[in-house]
Amino acid sequence: MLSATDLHVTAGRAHLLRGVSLKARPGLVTAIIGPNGAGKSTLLKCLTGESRPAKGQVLLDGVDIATLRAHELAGRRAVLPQSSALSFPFTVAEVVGLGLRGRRRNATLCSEISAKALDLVGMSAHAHRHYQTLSGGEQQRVHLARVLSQVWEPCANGIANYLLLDEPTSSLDIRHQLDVLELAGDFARRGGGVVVVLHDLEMARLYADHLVVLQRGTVVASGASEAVVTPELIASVYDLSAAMIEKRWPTLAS
Amino acid sequence: MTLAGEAGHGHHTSGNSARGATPHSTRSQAVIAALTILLLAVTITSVLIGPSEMSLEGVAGAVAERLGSADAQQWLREQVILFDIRLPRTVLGGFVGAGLAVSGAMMQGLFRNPLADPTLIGVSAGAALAAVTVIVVISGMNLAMSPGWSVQLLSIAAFAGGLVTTWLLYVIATRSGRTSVATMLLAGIALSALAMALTGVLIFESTDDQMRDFTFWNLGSLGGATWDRVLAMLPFMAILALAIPFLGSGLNALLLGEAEAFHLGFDPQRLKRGIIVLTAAATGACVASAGTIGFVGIVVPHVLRLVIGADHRSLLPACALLGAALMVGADIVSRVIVAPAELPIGIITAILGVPVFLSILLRRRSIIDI
Repeated sequence: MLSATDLHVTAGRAHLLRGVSLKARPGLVTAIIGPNGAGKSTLLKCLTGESRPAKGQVLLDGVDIATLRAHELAGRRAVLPQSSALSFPFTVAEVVGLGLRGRRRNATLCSEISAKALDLVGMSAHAHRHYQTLSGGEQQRVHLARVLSQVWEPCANGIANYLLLDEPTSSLDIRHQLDVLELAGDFARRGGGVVVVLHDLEMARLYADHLVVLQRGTVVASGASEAVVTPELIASVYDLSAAMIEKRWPTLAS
Repeated sequence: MTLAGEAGHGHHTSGNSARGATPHSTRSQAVIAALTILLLAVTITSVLIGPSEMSLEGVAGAVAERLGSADAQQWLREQVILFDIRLPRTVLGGFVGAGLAVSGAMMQGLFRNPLADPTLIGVSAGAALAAVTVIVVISGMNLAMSPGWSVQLLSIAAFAGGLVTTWLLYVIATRSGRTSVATMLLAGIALSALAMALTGVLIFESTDDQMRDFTFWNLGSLGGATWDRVLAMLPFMAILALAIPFLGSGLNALLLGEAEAFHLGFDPQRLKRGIIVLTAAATGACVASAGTIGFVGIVVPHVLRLVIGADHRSLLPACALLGAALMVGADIVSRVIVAPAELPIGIITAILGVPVFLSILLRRRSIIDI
């Protein structure tokens, strides 16, 4: 399990996180939602190990991740950032290959995983194109393939790996938004853990098993998706009046 | 869309048209093989060509005599020209070219920008200033030093000068993990001008023979090549060669950003420190031996990226080979074109390099935007 307890993060005088706790269990998609500036990305950065909280700790299967080395962490979790810049001429396959550092000794396995990962995100046909020539959404899918190939086995020998996704749907069209979240769901069903930062409440409600709602750096609600997303919560967190309409996405009918 | 190849939405191709990086690595291997042959050819040409005419018979005789298979010493002049003048000069040229090209590629990876070059952003100037300072101190204190030691000391001083400059540049240009290219280039120009000015003052105040002249420190030359200088560069080159295989994947990851490099399993701080130290070491050793030679660090990596892509695992060794071949080739031109005089080699590399630099700038104006 990937868990955070009582995280406090400050930047100057601002308190970005105030006593945030979270549990991301294997087999579940845990979504972090909340308005802009609530501290969602800051929380994710703590979970990746990239930022150290001023107080509190993040445990991976009971081990404080601050004590783990970068390569040890990289074998257990992969991170999809909101956007990545790359100013040198890499091909799509090479970008995906960056995720396979730990397996470089087995070239056949590497190219197999890389090909499958590209297939999963629907970018196989573009494997030898230059990354720079892709659209923003296509680039994001290539990075998703890179991230998937980094933790290719959601659960190896009973030990769960984790996918940490920071607004993975932001630059995607509706079709690929659904695809990405289904991939994340599938990763969880196969025994891995997923933590995803989402903007879209409807998406979160449909695809996440567990929701954590942040507001101004604190957790204001958490629990099973259906129980958490209520008109009352939306009214208090987003300052909006809303009504729940029991209608699912038309694309999901199939 | 599901994992493990089960039936998905069917909008993506199901065949495995992605074959990993295979085509690129085959191509890289072919390019590296071709570059090795090119370097060998240029090296042989460089040893055979020069202002003094030598017959093939003379070359063969001199080699035979030096290797001890002939008793008579009838090719003494040829022996001196070949083994004490041209060979060290060619080897030194190869070292300097390889060092500058690899430093350029590493620095471009570190700054995530194809315009970073040790000479352009003042690292070479910082190294030159440190070397000149050491010469002034040694002669001022009347320290008796063997030529071998003083050359070695120059390399170490130049390394320190390069290190301080690179570190300063990185600190100036990087704010919260992001490196501003405009700040880096402008700060580099300022540091470079300052270092050059101070070097000029020291040179004009000094009467030391070792000082050579302002042209040497400004435009570079392989004219002073000796085996001592080759030996002084050897440890730096050996460290660089040993480090190259370990740096490739780290540099690749760093191109995505420091956070991403960490996510991929690298310690970005350690990686950056390593790259800065190695770049400074290589640049410093090159400057101490051959002065400031510009643009090799931009031209070579840029041309190779067009041919084999940006994967540093093959880019760095290819840069070493092409950099060496280019420098030895440029040195042949510098010796021949205005013979018996010599053109400073930096003039030739600038003539080759400036168009490449401007073409990168014109095609990718966005990379310089503040």
